Amino acid sequence: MSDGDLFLDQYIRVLDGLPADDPWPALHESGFLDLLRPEADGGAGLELDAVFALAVETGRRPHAPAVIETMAARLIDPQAIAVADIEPLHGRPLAAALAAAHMVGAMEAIEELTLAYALQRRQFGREIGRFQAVQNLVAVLVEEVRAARMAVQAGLVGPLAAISPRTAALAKIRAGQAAVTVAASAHAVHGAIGISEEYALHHHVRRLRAWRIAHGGENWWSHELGEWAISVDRDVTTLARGLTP
Amino acid sequence: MLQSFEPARIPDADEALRKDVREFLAAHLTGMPADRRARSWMGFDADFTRALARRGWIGLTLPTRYGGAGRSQFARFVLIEELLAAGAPVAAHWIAERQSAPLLLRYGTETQRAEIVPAICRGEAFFCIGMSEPNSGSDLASVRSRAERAAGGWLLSGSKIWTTYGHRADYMIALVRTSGGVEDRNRGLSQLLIPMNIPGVTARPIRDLAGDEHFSEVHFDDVLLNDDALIGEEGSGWDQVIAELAFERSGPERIYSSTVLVDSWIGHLRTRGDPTPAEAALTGRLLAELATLRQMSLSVTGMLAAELNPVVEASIVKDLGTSFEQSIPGLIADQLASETPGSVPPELLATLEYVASMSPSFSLRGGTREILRGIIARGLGLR
Ligand SMILES: Cc1cc2nc3c(=O)[nH]c(=O)nc-3n(C[C@H](O)[C@H](O)[C@H](O)COP(=O)(O)OP(=O)(O)OC[C@H]3O[C@@H](n4cnc5c(N)ncnc54)[C@H](O)[C@@H]3O)c2cc1C
Repeated sequence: MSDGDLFLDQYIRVLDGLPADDPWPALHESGFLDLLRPEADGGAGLELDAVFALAVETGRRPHAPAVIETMAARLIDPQAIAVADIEPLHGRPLAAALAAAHMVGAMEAIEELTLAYALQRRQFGREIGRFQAVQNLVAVLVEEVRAARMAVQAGLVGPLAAISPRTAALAKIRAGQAAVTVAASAHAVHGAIGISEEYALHHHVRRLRAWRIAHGGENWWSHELGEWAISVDRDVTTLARGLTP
Repeated sequence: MLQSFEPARIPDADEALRKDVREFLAAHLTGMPADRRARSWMGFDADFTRALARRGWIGLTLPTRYGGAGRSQFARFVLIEELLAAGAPVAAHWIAERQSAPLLLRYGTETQRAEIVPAICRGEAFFCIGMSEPNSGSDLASVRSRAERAAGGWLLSGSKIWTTYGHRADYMIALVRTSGGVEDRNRGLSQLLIPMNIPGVTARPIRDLAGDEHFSEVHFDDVLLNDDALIGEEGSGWDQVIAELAFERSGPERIYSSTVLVDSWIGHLRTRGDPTPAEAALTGRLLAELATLRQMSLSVTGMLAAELNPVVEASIVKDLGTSFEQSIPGLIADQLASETPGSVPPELLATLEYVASMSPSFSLRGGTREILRGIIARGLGLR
């Protein structure tokens, strides 16, 4: 088990044990809030690949607080707590990339819910997932989730400060596109239960929507990325290779 | 059933191949217009294939003892990515290299391996795929071409259709019925190796909607085949064909079919200057999607390198990839429609016309979108 895996395991336990009213004292005590800080500084100097994994787990849990953003904020202000928006501190690329990583988690949670529901709900004497039309919806949903995860994860390696606007664009554009299809397909498969306040789906979808429009949406980032691409006189395959480290 | 897509990195030694391939392509493709390069792996040029072979670039992953280069899946990824992105005319050897040689190595007799695989690597043995028939498309298990045991071998009758370059191939690997009837479905099928120049085999090209002749119809009239025409086990044809389709579907050719068009269009924007916000945004979107698909394809290559069997994952990449390739001509056409009539270079328009008209085929060849989604659904436990 690598260091990253070990942290992830502990992190999941901390997240799942947080009190609903005020999670911050427990988080502070857990030590997780300072993991991004250099080891010499009492942290673990986590890099982007480890942060990606933590952000995905945070994104999976519809009521988790802004732990990752707070971790990043504490790189600059060691006392920071409950920071939701790191764009003023770290700039748009890192803020967007972390939002995209959370989106991957939310979409994976939606995928799980949807798959389980398709296998459990019965109509016309069989599970709805046995119908080809429903299989089609679920297959496309899963494709989108995998594509989004790949687009985000492939770029998130190396130190936080090294994140490039190109990597962030790739992550935010692809996750944002996936979010639209994933939310629509998941709702379609769920039928009316997905519209009810009691069922978890809408909590995930709501957060997904918020992250999608935070720190620049697909259009904003596509425009940035496209202007850069047109200004560099290279073929698209070479440019595509250069989007990830 | 569905494995996760782990990010994969091309090892430096394999990445180093890229420079040589680029130099080779620059030397061999100059002057070839974009609308011809847009044919990509449908473009047939035996001389180009032999030039590649002389560089040792056919059969890169195959064992050296059979004429290959014994290199990694990642080296092959670099090579074929460059060939596809440039629109090199690779059709002559594409099928043989991609699926026939690996199939023969896995299931063939030692004679088949020792005689044919080195010829493939020299660019001297071209193959075609004999799966589809007039009444068997997606429902491949319903094939009716039939081979009966005869003295010293097999007697084959039936027809294949949509056979890519059947009229220019040296061999076909065909899925045929060797026992039972159509009602036995995937039981009783076998794969046969058929030389295309023997009596009773006729192949006639079918002209496509762009005026090209790549696919063909092939008839077998009492074709007498030797005993050793059987590949693998009698009755195992179905399992073998599934393995063959995994080779067919797992490569990056399912994402690059419209790349020549994209590069032509962006080149036009650069020459013309002042890209509009809509043009810049579309460029960014296409680039992000290409980068995503490329990473997914690389991840599948990583699974192949680890000797995993990425059937479901390859179907995911093919479905996403062909949707991407197909969306491109419509999106670019809409941008070009905003320009002053007469100001768009004719070569770009010809490239657009070609890709727009052929793009519906991207999600048919190699198995339709609907069939792939069925495979994905099975991988998810829904079927
Ligand atoms: C350019 C090109 C090259 C080709 N090259 C080769 C080749 O070299 N060798 C070869 O053997 N074949 C080749 N093919 C044939 C290709 O494999 C078939 O076109 C493909 O398998 C689909 O078969 P079909 O065209 O008969 O369509 P059909 O199977 O008749 O399908 C028509 C429509 O019905 C849908 N459909 C069918 N069954 C189902 C189902 N169970 N559920 C949901 N939808 C369904 C399909 O998805 C499709 O939308 C080539 C095709 C093209 C276009």
